[in-house]
Amino acid sequence: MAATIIPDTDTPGAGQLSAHIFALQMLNDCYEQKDRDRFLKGMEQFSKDVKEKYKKSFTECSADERNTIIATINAQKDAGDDAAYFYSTLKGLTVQAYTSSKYYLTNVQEYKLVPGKFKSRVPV
Amino acid sequence: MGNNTNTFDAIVIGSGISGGWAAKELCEKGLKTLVLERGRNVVHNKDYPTTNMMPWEFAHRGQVPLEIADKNPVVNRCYAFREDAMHFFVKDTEHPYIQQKPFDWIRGYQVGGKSLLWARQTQRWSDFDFEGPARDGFAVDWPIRYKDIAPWYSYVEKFAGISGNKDGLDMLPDGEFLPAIELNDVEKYFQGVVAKNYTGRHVIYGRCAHLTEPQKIHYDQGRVQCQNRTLCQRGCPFGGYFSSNSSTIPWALQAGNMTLRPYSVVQEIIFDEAKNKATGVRVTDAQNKTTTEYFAKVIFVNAAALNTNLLLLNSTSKRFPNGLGNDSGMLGKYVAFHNYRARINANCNDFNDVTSEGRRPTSAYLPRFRNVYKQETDFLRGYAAGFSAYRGIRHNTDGFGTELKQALASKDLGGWSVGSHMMGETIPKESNYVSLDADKKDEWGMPLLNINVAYDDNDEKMVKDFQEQMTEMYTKAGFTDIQVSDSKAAPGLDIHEMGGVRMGRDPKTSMLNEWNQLHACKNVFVTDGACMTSTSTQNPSLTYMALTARAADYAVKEMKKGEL
Repeated sequence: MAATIIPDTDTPGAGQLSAHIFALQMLNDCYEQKDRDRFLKGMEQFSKDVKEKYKKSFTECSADERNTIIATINAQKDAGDDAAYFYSTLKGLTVQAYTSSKYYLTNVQEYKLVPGKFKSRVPV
Repeated sequence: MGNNTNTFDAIVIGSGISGGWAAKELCEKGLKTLVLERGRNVVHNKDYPTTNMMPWEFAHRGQVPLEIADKNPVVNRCYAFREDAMHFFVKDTEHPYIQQKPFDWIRGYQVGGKSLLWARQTQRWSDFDFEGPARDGFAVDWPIRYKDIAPWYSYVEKFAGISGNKDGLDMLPDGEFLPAIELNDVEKYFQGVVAKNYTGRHVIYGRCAHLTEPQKIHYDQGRVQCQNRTLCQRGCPFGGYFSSNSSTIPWALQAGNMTLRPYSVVQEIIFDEAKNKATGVRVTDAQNKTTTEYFAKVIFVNAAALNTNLLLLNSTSKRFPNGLGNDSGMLGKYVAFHNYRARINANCNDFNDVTSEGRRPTSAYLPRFRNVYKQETDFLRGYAAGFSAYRGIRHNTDGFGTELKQALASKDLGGWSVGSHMMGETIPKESNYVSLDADKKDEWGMPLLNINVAYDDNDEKMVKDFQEQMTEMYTKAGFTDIQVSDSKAAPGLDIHEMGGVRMGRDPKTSMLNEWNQLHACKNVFVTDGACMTSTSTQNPSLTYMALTARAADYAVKEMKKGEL
């Protein structure tokens, strides 16, 4: 799923950067038990919904089907829904994994450990 | 009396921002000095394990894992208690205390203490501050005035390295400054709006302990220019900001007279009735729990404000049954702090054609403007405020797939945001006090500290006034989406707890004289936050440094005269 949210293209995405491992570690170490439970409940709900509609699991779906599934849940605004909670949490952690990765902070938006000079005024 | 190895000219209890200064001054003046620190040693550069870590090298990207956060709710509320610096904070579980009223006691038990972690703001006090209690009828009169401390401010500023502008303001005297970092355009705009609309209100660059242009004295300490990393809380490999670790402690060591003993929990200061003075200290080794006595002619207590209270309260003798020097019954009382509760955020919809680049270690500052020249509100004293404007890359994360990936690569800037927080003076009161618990002791046999400190009506009025006045200033500046908030944070989270061993002219109503000497035990000096008679609004560390250097100078002169 993470790889559908931020795909590997000609540059690394969530798949190549193993964003799911970071997401799971954060869930394990930094989330309250009730939120972890809700995440798992939402994941089950999500899997069940996919199975009902496509007669197969998310990973067995084609790339197009996966995009359709994510597009639907990504557009969903109802935060009260467990599946939506699962998705928005996973998406948030995927974005965090990607934007705090060595790849991203070296190649996309460079992080400078030692910036040196601060410029108070730079024209845009 | 002890043997030679346990006898020194001076003992300094604590190695934080004031203890480091005591160590440096006493060692430089030739005194054989024992510096006792209850925590582990932290050697500059060697013991900063996270200092060069990249964001992705932190397993939780800075966040504190829940297991640690849940076990340590007090320290977890501190803004700097994050994955990169949590090893420099005392965990609640390791060093319990008793909150008779909610009080977030934030501590750093290591060589350097909280000087590794401080916010590095260094504003001088003025006579509006030293004359405050006498003018407004609270606490007791300070036994010193600005002229007494001004040369010592200069003395410590030159060595520590303070960046600032000469602003020429009555309420915030100028000092010995390294160049300031320029404010950004939105901050300068706000500065102009405030200057145009108000008399006596000023927006200036917040003076801070960073080497913007190091001088020889700083290179001699092994420190170089601040690189604007803003990772100060990890310990700075450049020595870009002032800490005991990067500056005073290695300096004292180099002077050749310092013995630094980490893991030393001072249990009590030993008072000798026949000699009518303190002769030394009793120390429990934090690791093996053995007890040793050390002796010296003069003792500096710099254990951090509330721990200094704890130590003096626990130093009882026939002469001082209620704590060392406590003839007045004032010890532990009139504790005060800074009120940091209120904040105001907003947007600035202009200046879209400019931004800033990089990071910087300070921001703008509004010195106190309430009740400065005369009483004019329904509350006493006033507040200073930090102010900063910032803008950064803002990503739209609504989409997913390649659309989201492209959005995350965007360098488009969001608009400017502005923010300000209050730094309110609180009034020391007898009802705000600390005391020893009668029963409970810690692992090292020290009684636990009861903390009984709370806000009062004056603080509540000040929160409201900050919100109103800043809203008015923001409105005049045309800022939008103004949001005021009150964190309701407990006292203590400001990490500016002060008092309990206050200075004063009269031994009947104060603990220390104008030289930070205990009125009743002249060879004991208290020069950390515990000595403060009132709190003013300015971040207090610079004043502790100056008071310490001044007291050390006096102590050595008195010793030479044979007076101590």
